[in-house]
Amino acid sequence: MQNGFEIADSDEEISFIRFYDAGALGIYVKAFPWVFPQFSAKKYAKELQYIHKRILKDGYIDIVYHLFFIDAVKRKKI
Amino acid sequence: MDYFEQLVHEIDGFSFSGWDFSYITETGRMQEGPVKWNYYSRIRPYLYTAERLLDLGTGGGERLAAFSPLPGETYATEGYKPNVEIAKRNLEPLGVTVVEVDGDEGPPYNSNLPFDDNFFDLITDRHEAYCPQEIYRILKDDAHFITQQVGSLSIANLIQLFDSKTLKFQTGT
Repeated sequence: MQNGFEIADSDEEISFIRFYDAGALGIYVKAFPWVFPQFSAKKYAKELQYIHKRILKDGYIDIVYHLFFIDAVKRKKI
Repeated sequence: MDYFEQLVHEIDGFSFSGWDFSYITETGRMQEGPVKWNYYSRIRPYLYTAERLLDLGTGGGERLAAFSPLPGETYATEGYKPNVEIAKRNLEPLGVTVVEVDGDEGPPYNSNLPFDDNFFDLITDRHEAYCPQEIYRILKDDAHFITQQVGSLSIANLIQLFDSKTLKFQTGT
């Protein structure tokens, strides 16, 4: 029991997200403005260029996708 | 314009509508590796019996909309202003009440939700910060809170990729 909850099920996995071009990765990063507040491809051209070259060589780039799952049930406090 | 310049141009010209990644997923340019569970499949059994559902941090409401038919009384909260209008547009036609919460308040996030005690049969939360005490307060006895959360390693890896100092180290080896 945690905070009055019974953990019915939980799981964790370190998976990945695969990108097949630097444009897709750049667009993905734009979804997290609180991590990269002023993200623009021009500003991060050097980093994107590196990613671009790696993808041309390897075909893709993977980033870590670390996820967990919790199914918790509220139990009356006694 | 060479290929790389085209990509730069594409990135800077793109703007998100909610958390809709379909632009890069439909063509397969971005693909998520499979995990041991599926958030939707884990929620679905509870959707049939729940009469009152809350989706915490619904984003643009795209995911919740995909869960329809939804319980008779469904609420969704969102704290990121640009998403609130998108969520309303996606969810109100489905009868969902979209509630704007203060996304700028500091942690603990979502610790003061505008709902009564013992109110919900089911609370779902995909990638939104939550406050266990507040979830406990608004959830009915024996009801489920189901959440999928992104772990800290994801962000660390992105920061590493977009931190030029780290990149120098990587390319130098």
